[in-house]
Amino acid sequence: MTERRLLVVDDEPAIGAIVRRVGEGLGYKVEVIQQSSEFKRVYRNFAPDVIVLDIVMPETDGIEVIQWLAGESCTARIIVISGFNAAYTEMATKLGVGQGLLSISAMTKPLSIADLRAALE
Amino acid sequence: MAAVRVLIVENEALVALDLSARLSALGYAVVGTAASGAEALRLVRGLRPDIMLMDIGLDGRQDGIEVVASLSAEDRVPVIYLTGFQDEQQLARARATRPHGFLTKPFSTWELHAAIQMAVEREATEQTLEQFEQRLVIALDALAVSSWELNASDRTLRRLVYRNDRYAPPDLGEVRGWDSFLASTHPADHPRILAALERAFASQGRYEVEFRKLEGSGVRWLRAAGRVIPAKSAGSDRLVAVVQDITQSREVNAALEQRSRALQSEIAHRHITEAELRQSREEFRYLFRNNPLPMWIISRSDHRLLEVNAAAAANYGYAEAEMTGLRLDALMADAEPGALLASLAAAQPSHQTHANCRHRRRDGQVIQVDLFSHALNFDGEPARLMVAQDVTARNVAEEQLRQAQKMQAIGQLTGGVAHDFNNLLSIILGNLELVQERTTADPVIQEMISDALKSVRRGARLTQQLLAFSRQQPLKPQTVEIGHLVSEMSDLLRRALGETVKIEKIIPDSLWKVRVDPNQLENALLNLAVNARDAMPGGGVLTIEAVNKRLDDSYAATSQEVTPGDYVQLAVTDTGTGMSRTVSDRALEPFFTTKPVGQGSGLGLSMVYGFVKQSGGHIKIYSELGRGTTIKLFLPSAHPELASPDEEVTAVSPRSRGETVLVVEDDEAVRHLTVRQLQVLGYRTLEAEDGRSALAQLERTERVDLLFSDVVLPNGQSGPMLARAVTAMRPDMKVLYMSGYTRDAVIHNGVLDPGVRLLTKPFRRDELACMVREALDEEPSP
Repeated sequence: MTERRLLVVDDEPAIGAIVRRVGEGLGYKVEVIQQSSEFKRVYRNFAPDVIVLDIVMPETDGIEVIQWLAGESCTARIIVISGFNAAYTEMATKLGVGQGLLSISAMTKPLSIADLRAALE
Repeated sequence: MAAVRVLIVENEALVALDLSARLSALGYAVVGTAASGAEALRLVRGLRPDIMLMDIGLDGRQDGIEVVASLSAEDRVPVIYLTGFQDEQQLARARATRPHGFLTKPFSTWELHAAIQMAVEREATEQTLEQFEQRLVIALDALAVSSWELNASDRTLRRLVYRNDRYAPPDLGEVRGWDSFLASTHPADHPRILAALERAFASQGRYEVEFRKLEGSGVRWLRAAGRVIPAKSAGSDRLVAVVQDITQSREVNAALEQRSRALQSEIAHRHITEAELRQSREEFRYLFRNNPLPMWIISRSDHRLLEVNAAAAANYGYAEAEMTGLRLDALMADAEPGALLASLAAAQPSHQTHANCRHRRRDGQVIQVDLFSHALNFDGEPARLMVAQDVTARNVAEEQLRQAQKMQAIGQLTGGVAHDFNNLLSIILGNLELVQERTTADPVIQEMISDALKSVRRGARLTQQLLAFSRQQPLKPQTVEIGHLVSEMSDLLRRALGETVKIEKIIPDSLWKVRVDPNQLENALLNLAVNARDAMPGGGVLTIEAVNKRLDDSYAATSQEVTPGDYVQLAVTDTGTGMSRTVSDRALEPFFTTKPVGQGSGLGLSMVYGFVKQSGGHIKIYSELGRGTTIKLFLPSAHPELASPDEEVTAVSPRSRGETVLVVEDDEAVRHLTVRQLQVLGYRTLEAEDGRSALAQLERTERVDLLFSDVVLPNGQSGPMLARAVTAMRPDMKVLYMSGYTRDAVIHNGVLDPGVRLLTKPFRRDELACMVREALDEEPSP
């Protein structure tokens, strides 16, 4: 069985660290990045199976990241995490679905480990 | 009457004795007898007789006439000469001493008596004349006039000199020829002088003339006034006149005349300026009467309104005539008008005062006014002009704005804090859970971690409430039927309210659907119900009433942050204790609570407020102490294009009719996606990444129907700038914007600029289809 790969995008390093811990606990190879500017390069090199995406990041709107992924015909499972407006998260996920992304789901902060683990199983 | 006292001067003793006897017999008092001149002089001085009988032939060196002539002025006494000779020469000498009588010896007793009586009478007459002359001299002196007499026949002038001494020889003073007088006057005045003189003699009447007398190099003005005294039988007419120096009075007169002329011209001038002043007054009156600001004039003495303008009467609800005459305190709302009146009275007349006052309209309504006043004189009475600007509406608007700004500021603050807290809580929570998984063995540690986790979750709930208030909670708006939602909640509400509170629901079937998050609306209703319960500790009625409300521009203008449109008004009313104004003003603020510490978070109404605002609605509180509270939620009605997800699945996306769309978007992925979707919908497409390449595309292509551009574009040319350039080239080109930001150049205060269409990123394919179709089908603007 090939190792599953998890790409985490979060501008808050401590949250990235928690997701990494949970992911590694589940046997993922985990890559955490804080800047969305690195995303495209890392995505292509790392080829993740699951992406955990903090939807509002300082530089690029997470929605544009999703649209980019749709354009890339991404097959990875995408988990969108948002600190606030769930409608926004909802729209992002719908948009992703509408654009052919296979699997996209949303979670709201503060994250519960149990929920996160369930989502990553 | 006392006897006349007589002194006898007679050198013959027997004659003297005989005289004395005869005089005594006639009742005269003979005071003495002198035989010589020397003795006579001594006796005159010592005895002061009334009459002296003087014998001309005396002993010694002097005869009687010489003795009399030698009498000093003060020893003069009326004299009757006695003589034995009839000698013309002697008589002439005697006359020169101006005696009162002359008796030739021998004379009878009767002749003696008659002579003495005549002398007494003459003396009395002369004394009267002397007194008269004295008075005349004094008068002429006082008037500074001289008196002259002109003889008509010989034309000589005599200056009349009053000697005030009847014994002195008559002195006619200066005598001049008329011609020499005339030569001393100004030649130009001669005709006038001569004419006046002619007239006086011809009419035998008054003479009056003013003329100049040459005096050195200058002149003096003289005035002559007099009367002609007609000649008695023989002799000639005489003109007696007084001459007065009037140089000074003429100067005074000239000055007076000049002043009078100046006054006259000033009066004439005043007639003109009065006319101007009247006009100017009328203009000012017009400004006062028709000024849109309420104004009046009050008396400074009794503070009565002397005059009011139309705006004042209208603003205070009086007829003008009714308002005029009121005392200022009749307009004042507060109990102590004395303070303002006192401050007005104390103010310097020139001092301009300004006060914020509460006034009362005729109908009792209290208004707030900015009262400016300035002293002036009104019809000569000390008065003040007062301008009373009604700032009630302004104050209300300011207060609303202030309130809205305050809520916005608090919202931003709490929202920012809540965000950071959310992240911190995520980290604490995540790590605690990881720790919990690794330390299963130790129950004490497990308990500690469990307690910590409880607190974190409480913190998370609080953060959610803060986010709700700051309009940043996760909302899942759907199309909601309020009637359905409320009846679903019935059990929950009944449990929350308890048995003492009765619930009434008034919800019409025709009620519009609303577009809100149903869970949060339930939450809000529950919050309101709990607040209502707490306000009705003894029980009461809770009314939930919903009604369709179309809020138009005019309503929106009266409230901050209200967009005109269709709303459902959901009112929750209790019959409880109500809130004071101070409480209701702050009721929406987070952490503001009237409940005891520990019993309320102070976030309930704040959450409701944030939720309603975030849902595009607004909230109003009506409360009266002791009566109850109504809280009205205005929720935006659901529009067809905002229908719930269930409905949209079945919606058929409007499609192309062969149009061409130019997509301008710098993000390659978004541009590709959009283009692909448009192509699926049947549109022909062109692509550009910025304004410059968009314009280049347009130049190469003959027919383009729609410019579909991002608002923010790179390389300096924004979407709106590009649109302006394009529509200048092709006026029939339609424009649609897309944007990922809520605050963009095309949006101001949450409202799109008129005529601008905007698709917010991310957009669904059907949203894109609808908006593009709508933009293309839009009638060209006139």
